[in-house]
Amino acid sequence: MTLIDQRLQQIFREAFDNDKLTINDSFSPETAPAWDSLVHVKLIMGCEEEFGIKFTIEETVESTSVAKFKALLASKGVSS
Amino acid sequence: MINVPLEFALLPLGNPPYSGARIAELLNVLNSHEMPCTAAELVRLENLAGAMASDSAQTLGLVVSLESPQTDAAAWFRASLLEGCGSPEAAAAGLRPLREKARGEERAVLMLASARTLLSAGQPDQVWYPLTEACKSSAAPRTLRNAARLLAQARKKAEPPFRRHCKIGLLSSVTIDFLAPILKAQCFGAGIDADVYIGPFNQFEQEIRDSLSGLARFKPDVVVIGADWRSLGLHDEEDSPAQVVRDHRSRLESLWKECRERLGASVIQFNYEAPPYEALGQLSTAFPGGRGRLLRAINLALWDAAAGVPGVIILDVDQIAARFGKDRWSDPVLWYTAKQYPSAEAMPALGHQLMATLRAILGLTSKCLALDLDGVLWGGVIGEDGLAGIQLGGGPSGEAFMAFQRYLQSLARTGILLAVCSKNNPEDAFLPFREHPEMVLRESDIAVFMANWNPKEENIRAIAAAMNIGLDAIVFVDDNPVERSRVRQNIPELEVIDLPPDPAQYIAALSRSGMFEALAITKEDRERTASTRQNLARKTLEATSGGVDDYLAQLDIKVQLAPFDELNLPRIVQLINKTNQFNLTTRRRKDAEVRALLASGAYTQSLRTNDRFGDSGLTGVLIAVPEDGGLRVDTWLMSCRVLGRRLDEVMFAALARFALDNQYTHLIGEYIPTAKNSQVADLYVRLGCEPAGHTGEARFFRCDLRQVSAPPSMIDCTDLTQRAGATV
Repeated sequence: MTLIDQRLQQIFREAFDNDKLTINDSFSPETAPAWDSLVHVKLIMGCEEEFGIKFTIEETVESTSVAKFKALLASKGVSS
Repeated sequence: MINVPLEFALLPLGNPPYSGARIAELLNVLNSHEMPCTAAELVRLENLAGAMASDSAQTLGLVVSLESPQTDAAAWFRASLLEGCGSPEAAAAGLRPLREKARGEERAVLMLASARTLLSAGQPDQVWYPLTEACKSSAAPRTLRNAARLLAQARKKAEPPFRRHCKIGLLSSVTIDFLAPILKAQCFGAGIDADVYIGPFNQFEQEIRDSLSGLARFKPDVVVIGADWRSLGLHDEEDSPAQVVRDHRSRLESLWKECRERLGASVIQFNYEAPPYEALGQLSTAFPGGRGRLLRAINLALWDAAAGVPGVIILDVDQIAARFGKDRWSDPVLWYTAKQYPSAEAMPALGHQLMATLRAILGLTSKCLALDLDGVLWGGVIGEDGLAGIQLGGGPSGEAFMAFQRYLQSLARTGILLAVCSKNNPEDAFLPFREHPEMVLRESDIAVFMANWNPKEENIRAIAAAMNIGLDAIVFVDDNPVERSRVRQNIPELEVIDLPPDPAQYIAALSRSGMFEALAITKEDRERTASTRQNLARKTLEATSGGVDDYLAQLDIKVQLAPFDELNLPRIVQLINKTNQFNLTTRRRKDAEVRALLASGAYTQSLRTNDRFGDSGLTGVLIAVPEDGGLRVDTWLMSCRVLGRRLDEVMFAALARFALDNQYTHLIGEYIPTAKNSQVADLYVRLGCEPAGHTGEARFFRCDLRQVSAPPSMIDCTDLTQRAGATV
């Protein structure tokens, strides 16, 4: 597991209020019905605080899977 | 020693798993990192440990090589590894010596990890102190959210020691859901069990008016109306601004009335942020109809409206936003995507002030500020540097200390008792108060002065005893982290301000704590320092007189008993909500509830007293309700300032006389034990009543009216309660 995976997984665990949750790239609202709009905002707020970054409106709306979150973090220069 | 942030030191590590050489490098970094870690660095190390824990062989090897960590960073990393590989007990033990080593966010992160590992280790009763401290120390939304999650988990295992329970209806014109966990954590930090109901998005008016709404079914103690400026729908410029203000004021007044009268709840009404970006620019406030001016006019109108309505408090959101910084108060991305307001990072600031207001509503406002001297009221050490050597006035640091003293003096004038708690020779400690020309605080501003070489926890207990208040009503201020940590460990219920190192920041740190937020300042509050000093003079007289009655005769006590009236009601409600020790039933009641009791024909009695040392003001409250041909004492309490003067006998005799003259057959007394009121457990027996059974914890006593003794003759009593009916 990379450090990014670890940090991201922790954010997902907090947002889903589930300390046993393990995530993979395809984890998304389709595979996880609990991923509702409130959880989505928690994910955005969690990432912004953890990685010290800011999402744009489009990025907020389109970050709908773990893979997309990871791609976005990479594009913002978060490397570890 | 490494002098770069840990973040950079860890960068070359890359992703796990690591080779032996990399691990050695990591250990070297940690064991030589003497700089204190930031909260972000602590979380980074925690994550690193979590990522490594998947390779358990390597993890355990690392734990062994960190057996005796040489730095706090290494000890923290070791504890994180232990937690990651499933040894919470060992992790908790490793965290314990670290807990008191930091302030602010770092403290919060350490305390939260301590609480979490203690819970996993099956020690739920040990969780409350570190979890409380984490909630008090943090202003980071994520830490507070995680604290709230941990609280929910821990409550399944044990019951936390709450001081108050409160049902809060959170209504808003915006998405307020994310405030709830943060507020719950902050309330927990203040000893408040916050049961929060979140109303549906932007339906606060329907929720309040509909008798079948979720809010009505929830039966809130407090309704928070969190409307935002956008929901007012104001144009850049309005044609009839006065009309807009009037309409909005009357609309909210009618909602408040519903909350108070139908729901029986107090109201916390948000006022409106004047937004930082206006098309009219500064003219928005200059033009008569400009939105900026209008919002300010509405805010002032809200305060005017609330001034006449007890139980309605305006939360100054515009000020909270300004203090936080309006640029960061709003997050336009989260506003457009989720109607989130204020921003995620601003919510702790909003929640904190909300919590401080709830604390005041629930009668938890702190009563005393116990102050260290050297490094707090002046710079330097008076015992070593002497009068001419300390920093006070006459220079940048000296100016800061003077300003802090002025702030403290203002606090004292609102009724906060100041105490000195200093390790010093008494003659050294008094010297600046008596002889330093720039000293702002005078001896007369200090209610209790403790300067000696005893441990500070002993002095704080002595201060509490002299003032007759609980330890949890004291806020302790000391610039020395070792003293703070020591006092915290000895008196966990004490509030301790983590004073920043620079005196320039003292006022902000104390003000931000919100410990002294109050709903009202009464005449008694303003005279409290003087009356406490009078009480200490009384104690001296008591020690030199021959027996209690001789002492009371010398005191020359005068008492006035009167039914409740409009003028006294704020003070009476304040006493009902904060008196702990002489309080037979500890029934907390809001203004509206007291009025309802009055309207139902209850007998009410308030006590005022003065003596040769001064006026103690309104310090006793009794409410009795007719029941089965007798009168049942529903509420009876006295301020600790007037205890030991046989005034309880005076109050009870007046009640008995009223009962007799109005054809009641008997009196029923009730005692409900709490952690703090054991001193009145046998009061009714002392007054000549017979035990008459119990229901649950409540014990009842009965008194036929013939059994009541005459009031003590050395007390001069004027009794205005003997005519039936109340005057409110």
